[in-house]
This record gives sequence, C-alpha cells and structure tokens, in this order.
Amino acid sequence: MSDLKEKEKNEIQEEESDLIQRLKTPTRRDFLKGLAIGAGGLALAPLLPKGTSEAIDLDYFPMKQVGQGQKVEAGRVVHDYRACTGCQTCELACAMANHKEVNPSKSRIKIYRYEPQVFVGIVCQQCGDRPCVNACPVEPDKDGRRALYEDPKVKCLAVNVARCINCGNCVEACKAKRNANIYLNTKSIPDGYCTLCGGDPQCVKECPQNALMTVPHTTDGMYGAKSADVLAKWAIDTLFGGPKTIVENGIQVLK
Amino acid sequence: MPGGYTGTILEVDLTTRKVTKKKLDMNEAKMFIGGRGLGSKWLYDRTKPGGSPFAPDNPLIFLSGPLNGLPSPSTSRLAIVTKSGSTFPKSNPKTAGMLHTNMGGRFAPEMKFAGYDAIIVTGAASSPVCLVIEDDKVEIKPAEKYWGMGNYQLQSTLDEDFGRRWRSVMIGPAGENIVRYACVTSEIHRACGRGGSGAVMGSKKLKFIIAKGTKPIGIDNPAAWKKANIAAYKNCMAANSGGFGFSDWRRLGTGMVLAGASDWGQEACYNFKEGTYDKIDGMDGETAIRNLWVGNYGCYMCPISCMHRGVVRSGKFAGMTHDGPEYEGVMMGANCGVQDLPGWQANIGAADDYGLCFISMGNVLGFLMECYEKGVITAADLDGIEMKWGDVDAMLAIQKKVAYQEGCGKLIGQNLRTLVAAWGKGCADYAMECKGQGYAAWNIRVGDTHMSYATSNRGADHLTSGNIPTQNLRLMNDALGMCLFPVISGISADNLKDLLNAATGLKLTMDDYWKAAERIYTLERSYNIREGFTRADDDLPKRAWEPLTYGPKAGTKLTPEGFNKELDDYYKTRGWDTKGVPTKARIKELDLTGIA
Repeated sequence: MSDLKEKEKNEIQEEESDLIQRLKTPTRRDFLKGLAIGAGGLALAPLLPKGTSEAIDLDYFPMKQVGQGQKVEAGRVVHDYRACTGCQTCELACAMANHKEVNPSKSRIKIYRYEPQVFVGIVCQQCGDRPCVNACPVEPDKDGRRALYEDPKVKCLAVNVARCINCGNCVEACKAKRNANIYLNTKSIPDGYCTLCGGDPQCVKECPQNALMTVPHTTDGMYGAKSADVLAKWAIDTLFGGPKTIVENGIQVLK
Repeated sequence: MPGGYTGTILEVDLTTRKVTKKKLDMNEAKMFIGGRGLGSKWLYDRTKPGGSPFAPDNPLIFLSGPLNGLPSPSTSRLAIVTKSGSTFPKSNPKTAGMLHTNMGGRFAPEMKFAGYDAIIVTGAASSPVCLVIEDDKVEIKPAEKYWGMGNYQLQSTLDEDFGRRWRSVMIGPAGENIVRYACVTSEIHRACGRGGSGAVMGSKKLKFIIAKGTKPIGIDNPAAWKKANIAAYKNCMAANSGGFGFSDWRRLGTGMVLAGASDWGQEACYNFKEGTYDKIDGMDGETAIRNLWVGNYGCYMCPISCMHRGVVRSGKFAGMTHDGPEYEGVMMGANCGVQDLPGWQANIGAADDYGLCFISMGNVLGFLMECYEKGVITAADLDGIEMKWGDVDAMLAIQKKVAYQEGCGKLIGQNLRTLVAAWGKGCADYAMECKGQGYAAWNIRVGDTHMSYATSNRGADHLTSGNIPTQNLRLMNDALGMCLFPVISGISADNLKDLLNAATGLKLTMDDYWKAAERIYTLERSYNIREGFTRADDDLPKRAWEPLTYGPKAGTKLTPEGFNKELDDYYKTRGWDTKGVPTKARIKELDLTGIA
C-alpha cells in the first residue's frame, strides 16, 4: 500500500514539476512571437497528456483521440457542415486507403467550399432505391446483378467492369435525382461512389473535426443525398441566417 | 514518381504569351529547399539591381515547398517571391528590396497536384489576362470579363465558370490599380498580404491564376514518413502547449492575444503611441466567440483550423458574415481607436474585397488619424472626410478611394514616406515603418519585436521574429510549405527535417537544415545590399524612444544605444560585418556561389 502511495506521490510530483517547468519557461506571448527556448531553435516542447500514446491508433496519420481502432458499422457516411472546416483530411484518407495515392481528386468524398464560408461534403449516400442501379441498362445476371449492383456483404455499390457498357446512365441518374457523386473515370467506368472501405470508412476515422459519422441503414440514404448547392443553402441559412457579406461599403446579398 | 517535389516548374512570359515547362534543378532544391528559399535564389539570379518592381522584367514567382499537399498538418502554404512594392533603400527610392510573402488556403497543393512546384511569371500582358492550369494543359487566356471585380464577386464567378474544385489566387481592384500595398488573395480571406505583391501582379495585368490537378504527389520513403508524421500529429494536437497549443489555436485563433497583447503593453494602439488599449473591452477574442462566431474553418490538411466564421446579428451591419477578428486585424481596430466590433469587421471585409493588405492599410489609416488630430492635415486633404479616431465609416470611405485610386486615394495608396514628403509638419514622427513598409499589430518598446521589424529582409515584418534561431525556424517553414501554427503548437524542427527527408529522399542533418536557413537569410540580405540598402535602413522610428504612457508597461521605451548594440550583435551572429554586409568568408561558408 505504501509503495502505491509512493508511486502516486512521484506521479504528482512529476506533474507538478511539469507545471513549474512551464511556468518558468519564457512567457506564452514569447511563444506566439516565436522566441526559441533553446539554442537548437526548438519552437516548443509540448507536454503530452498521459495516456495519449495508448489512445491514438497509429496509422498513416493519427487524428482525434476518440473512436480510434473501433470498427464502425457500415451504412452510409454522413457529413456535418456545422463542424467541417474544409481541411480535406477525409479526402486524403480516402484516396490513400482506396488508391494508395496522395491525391484528393481520387477521393470518393469531396468537400466543396461556398461563400459565406461553409464546406459541404458530398459522398454516396447508399440510397435504398438505388436510382443508379435501376438506370443500368445491362440485363440482370443469374444473381440479379446488372453491371452496376449492390455488393451484398458491404451493401455499397460495385461494378462488373466486364459487363459495363460505359453508357453513363448511372451518372445521369445520380446527377438528376441525388448528389452527383458518381462519374465515369478515364476508363469510362463508373467511379467515385463510396465503398465504405469494406465496412470501416477511413474518412470517418481520420477526420480531425469530428465532422463525419456513419449512420446505419435503418434510415434511407436517399433523403440525405441532396446536391451540394442545396446543402450549402441550408448550411448558410442555418449558420448565418443568409448569404450576406460586406461589399462596397454596404451589405449585399451574394446569391 | 519523385518524392515531395513534382520536378517541373512553369515559366510564363506574359509579354510573348508563351508558357514553357522546365525541370526543377534538384541541386538548387537541395540547397534552397523550396518556397521562400528557392524563390529568393531565383529572384537574385533573374534580376539586375535598380529596377522598379512594376517593370515587366520583375519576376513574380509563386512557389510551393516539398511538403505542400502531403498528408501532414497544414501543408497548405503558398510562397510568393518578387521585388517588393513596399520597400526601398534610403539611398535609392526608385528601386526596391526583395519580398517574400506567404498564405494558406488550397492553391499551393493544387498547383502540385497539377504537376508544378512553381510558376515564374515574367513580362506584362497588354490587356487583362488569367492563367488557367489543368494538369498538363496551361493557357494564358483573356480576362476582360473579370477585370474590375472585387474578390467576393470574382471568387463566386470563378466557382460558376470553372467549378468549386478549382483553386485560385487573385487580385482585386487595389492590385489592378497598383496600390503599393495591394495583396494577392485566395478564397477571399487568405492573403499574401505584405509588400504589394498584388500591385506587382496588377502591373502585369494578371487578374488570377486558377488550377485543377489530378496527379498524385510522391513520398520517397513511406515507412520513414509514417514515423515522422505520427510524431508530427501527436505533438501538434497535444492538448497542452502552455497557452499556444492546439486547443488554444482552435478556440480563438490568433484572436487569443487580442486582450493579452494589450495587457502586455504590446498592442498597436492609436498609431502605435500606446501598447495597452483603453477600449479593449468588447474588442477581444472572448467577445468574438460569444457574440459572433458560429464555427471554425481552416486551410488544406489542417487539424487545428484556427480560423472562424461568424455573423453580426444586430445593428447597422446585421447579417454581415465575416471571418474575424484575428490579431493582425488590430491594425484596423485598436490602432485606429475603433471600439465598434462589427464596424471593425466591416473594414476587414472591405479590405478583403478590394485586395488590400489590412495590416498596411490599417497602418496608413492610423497615421492619417494622428495627422488629422495633430493638425497636419484637415478634411480638405481627404476629400472632405473627417478622419477622427475610431470612425469606421471614414475608414471605409478612405479604403474605397485607395482601392480605386480616386481623389486623395492616389497619394494615400503609395507609401508612408510619400505622405510624409507631401505633408511635412513633422509628421515623420508618426510614420511607423521600416524600409518603407508599415509596422504590423505588434508594438515596439516591450519585448523584441523592434528587432523583427528592423532586421526582416522584407521590411517591417512581425512574423520574421526578433531573434535569429526563430528567424531561421520560420524561414524553413516558409521554404517547406507548412504553416507556422502547427509548429508553434508543438512540431519541432527535427520533426520537420525528418518529414522533409522522408518525403524527398534528401538526407539533411539538423546542421544542414540550419545551414540552409542561414544560407537563404544571408542570400535575401545580399539581395537588399545589392539594391543599395545599408545599416541606415535597419532603423527604428522615433516613437521607439518615446515611453508608453498608459497601462502596466507605462514608462517603457527603447534607447538608440541599446538598439545599436543589439544590431551589432545581430550582424555578428549572422556572420555579417559591422555595416550589416555579409562577409566574403560567410558567403563562401554558406556555399552561396555567384553572390557579390
């Protein structure tokens, strides 16, 4: 028992001496202006809260300290424009996980910037009625699958490249009815739809702003699959009460 | 695929309207890294001393660094290097010093995804043009349609004409009209603010550059990258960094020191007369987060996202959205005696729209207010505008005249020294500038900001910092393309060196890293020496010797003797002679070939 108390005491002393150390170092204003503490030009030595290293799931880049290492239930990825800061970490997480490239243009989630400043995330919402699949003209095979179909396990879209006739009907259907996340790639195959990373969406894991979540299939994605312009209008109305900025010494409504 | 760098640079000659692609010289990259470093080298090599910054032969260089675009905290920063629109030596007002300027946003990464490390723009177009970059396709196109637009209108028009995934840099009417402190902006609110790069761009009749890229950026050693990057994120996002850590940046941004700087006697108040603001209540970060802000936003790949978005809910400016206050906004706040938070933000918003550096514009506005108070000028000198302290409408009116170069705006849009020469009556005592460029929101007399202003290679600059190790640290950030704030929040230089090596395959030691910083700083100095700057230009304004009279630091002042000693020490540590000229031995030691 006394050993434990000794250990606790040492830990408290350690924390206190950390505190004293911080108080003794040049004042914080100096940090802002960048006064170096030591000759090596080290900007700041941060005091890591204890236990952080255990909490962080170390992958390509660790992010928020919650939800790391937890498998999230596949459903659809939902973007919260109240929290999104436009950093595009999700885009790199997606591109790196799915294409092994540092290349946001290959991301399946795309962030669009509007003014007044809101960022709207567009990603396949796994609509229950699958207008994309239903627009595919290729006859269903013995398993009921057209060229574009729903993967039975992950419940995301999938393409049978051999059967696809590159007509682009699926692209048009999504554009007309939902959020235009699907497009024909350089090989004229439908691309850009969310594969949920096989059931463990990386974008949700890596977002440092807690602006992404997965929502299970109990709610139909088709209601979430609004176009970026519509979502932006809602976001601007909600956050700002409308799109007013300062222009020419007065207030002018942009759009 | 190479690592870090794309390996290609664009040469754009607006006179001949020719675009050429060139290979990046990797030996140069190894010595000067990228961003501000490479830019300074190219500026030195490509200009002859004595030319005007607005002559067609002044190269306007847009640069990324080897870290831009990569999945690390805030690899967003764009550097612009060119001859300055704001600085000139006392010995020759017709020439200019070097300018390095920097901003966040999303353009620099996009430039790299399109395949280019840098864009060097030379010459001048005979009519308004834009540069459109889509991967390999690079075209100079007519921009008459866009010429004259403010930045708000231009951004929304570009979103429509090109699409919201295209990233651009642009100038507003102030740049078009070659206002000496016009800036280049991106996404309206991000600015390469200091030094008049917008005026240089306007003199070339280049309205905007817009880019979209679909190529990947390589990482030379993914295992080493992963290790260094995990450390970077961990350190950047640690909850405690003594008041300037992740959570502090996130909560209030640079607004966190709006009240603090005033408490410490370091805020620019009433044209720098005082360091503590008597009207700070209601003009600080805490007020902003409670009454204005609805959320954060940030630059490319930034977990901090230190900026905010807000809306004014009542009063004259009800409904106006804006992204401040940030600390340097003080130039249009406390520095002008303003106590109206919405009116303050309206002025920042106007500066954003016109494409005016709000630091420089705020400096000039404060100068006008003091001159008006002291009877140096009357309303007649300002087209009838009564320039009273704190009058936000008078400030808006002056900004408009400056942006459009109308009436009194023609004189005011030049330089503090031009105003001093025009008005006399001892108003030189009120001009807060170094090398021609106006001071920023950190006041002098308390702390060492005066050394930052006096020894910065781009004229009065608060970011350079007052001591050499930090100057070197920040210079390297400007060369790498990563934002300073994650570094202040906890990423060490060691860590940056590891990221650089892992991305590019370079094998820099920390000695190499700091030597590169010294090399670039001395190169920039050499540029200015070549243009005729001397020790006499590393000076402080008269206000430095006048004590503060209000607040906890009342009585604090500097002395010429003290400052001269500091400058002696500074030159010595940099390896320069007592005149501040880099010695031949030092130039050789730093492997600077071809420097006189």
